[in-house]
Amino acid sequence: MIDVKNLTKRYGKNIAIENLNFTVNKNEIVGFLGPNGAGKTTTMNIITGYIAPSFGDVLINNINIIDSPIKAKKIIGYLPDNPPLYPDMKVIEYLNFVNELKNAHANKNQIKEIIERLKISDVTEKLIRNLSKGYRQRVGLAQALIGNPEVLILDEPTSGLDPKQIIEMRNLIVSLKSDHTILLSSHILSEINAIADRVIIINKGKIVADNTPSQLSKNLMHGKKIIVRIRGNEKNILPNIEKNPKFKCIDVKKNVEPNCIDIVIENKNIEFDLREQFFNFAVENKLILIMMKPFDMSLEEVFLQVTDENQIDCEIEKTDEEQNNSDNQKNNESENKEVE
Amino acid sequence: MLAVLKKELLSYFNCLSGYVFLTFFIFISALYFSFINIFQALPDYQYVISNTTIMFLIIIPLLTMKLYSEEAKNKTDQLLFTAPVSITKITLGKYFAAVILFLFALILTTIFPIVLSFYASLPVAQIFGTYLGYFLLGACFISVGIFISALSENQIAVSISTFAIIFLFYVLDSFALNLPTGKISSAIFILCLIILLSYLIYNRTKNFFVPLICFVIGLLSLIVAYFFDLNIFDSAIYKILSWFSLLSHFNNFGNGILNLSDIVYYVSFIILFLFLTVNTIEKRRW
Repeated sequence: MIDVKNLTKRYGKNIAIENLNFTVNKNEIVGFLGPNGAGKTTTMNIITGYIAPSFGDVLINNINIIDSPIKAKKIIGYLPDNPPLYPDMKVIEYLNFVNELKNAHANKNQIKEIIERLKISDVTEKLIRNLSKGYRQRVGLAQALIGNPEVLILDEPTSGLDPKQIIEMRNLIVSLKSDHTILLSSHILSEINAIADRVIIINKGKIVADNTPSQLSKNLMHGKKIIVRIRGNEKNILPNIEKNPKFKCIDVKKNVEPNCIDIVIENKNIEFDLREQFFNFAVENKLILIMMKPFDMSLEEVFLQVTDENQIDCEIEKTDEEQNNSDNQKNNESENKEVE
Repeated sequence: MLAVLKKELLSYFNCLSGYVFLTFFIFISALYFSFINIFQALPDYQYVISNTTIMFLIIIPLLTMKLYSEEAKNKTDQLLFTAPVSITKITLGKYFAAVILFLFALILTTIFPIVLSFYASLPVAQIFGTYLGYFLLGACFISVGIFISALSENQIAVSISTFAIIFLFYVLDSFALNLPTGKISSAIFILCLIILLSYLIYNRTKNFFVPLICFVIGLLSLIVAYFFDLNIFDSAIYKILSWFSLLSHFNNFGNGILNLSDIVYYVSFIILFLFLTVNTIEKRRW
């Protein structure tokens, strides 16, 4: 639905984004993450046709936004980081104006439906300048929904909302998934984790990770760590584990449960499945294994790891081979550029 | 385009600027009407219109300063430029909103000559011609205003610049009269114009060859003209500057002469500035 190909934006000598390649499939919610100044808003502005790229193409439903902007813009609804509202207009005037501007031909009922869906019916006669940040954000989203565009680009849709509104907005976005393709950016990682099917992390204008949130954390761990809970005395258990050459113990937590210890175990040899090995080890040593689970990183940790300058080069294995290939190409190209 | 036009017209009356503009316009027109037609008992209403052209210095910035700069400041341009509407249509919508408000004010002032017609026989052709010229002149200044408004998001800077540019148009005639009329100075002036034009083309296209070709052609024509027909350089500076003068074209209308070339001149001027406006916004996107 959204195809971004070799997208580059330069401001003089500064490179805002460089050689971005990604795809958002139909009815998918993709989270766009990155530290401040990473190029998220620039990318979204280019996708929506607000600014033009220096190089590269954006295809919306196979329509190039640069070649046929009017056609492509018809299927995009955009909520920028600052909702584009006219403070001197009433909410209903504003929504009617957007309807006319987009030539969306939405009738009164359709606008009413959007108003009800976003719970702004009690402010429709108010001037936008008198609205709170939360209401402004919702009016901004209502504007994006007018004309029922297939693609929604939402730049930090939950910023400025209170916790209850954040949950409502989250549910709303998920409910839009059935008939929309959504690309949203956010600083709140738990939010992306909760609603996005896939996460793209960019840093300094380059994509550093592109995968599902769960796969992302697993890949970063390389499946190397597990956490196990064993009943028994620490003194009897730990020396046994440390003696074993196949894995090592990196963290121990005592008394999580009475008479139990939690141990984080790392695989020394990545070729073997750590879970199987540890299970066999536990049987051999007659350890009472109460719990075993992969030690996944939270999205926060993934984010920090992939956006950390020293860690950018760390390999992120992708389950999808195509993604792997495209990434290789991308790395080669950027290396070539550096050589030039 | 209609959506933008409606929104702009509405916004003039949502904030004070529309009311301030109408009040000011009608008050000053009424003042001149009283002085000229009532106190001096003259039936020539066209003098009232001609005299009120000075108002453009104030009313044009009032009408145009917020057209684009407010959008840029409130970031609402993101809505306009990501909507499935071309920038040309958005610009036309904004331009015509200002022109319609101006025309509305102008229509309101027709009450003065109508009242006057009960007491005297009026020079109808001249009044009608002056109204047409006045409208076209205002429409030209509005196109300049919208262009300047697209340059900056600071409304104060925009209104002062609009005022300054319109002021420059007013003094252009008397300014041109005081410039040297010699042939060499004229040739140098034309050379400067050619360089300026070439630079502008280079600045817009970032292409080196087109402006170079323009410069070479311009320079060659200048040299050929200089050696073959020196007389065309006689007070050329004045001729060129007065060609740019919007007001000298207006004077024809005031004399009751409806010259097609004047109308074409004004319309071309408007199209040029609207084109520059669209071009400026397009360029900012890249």
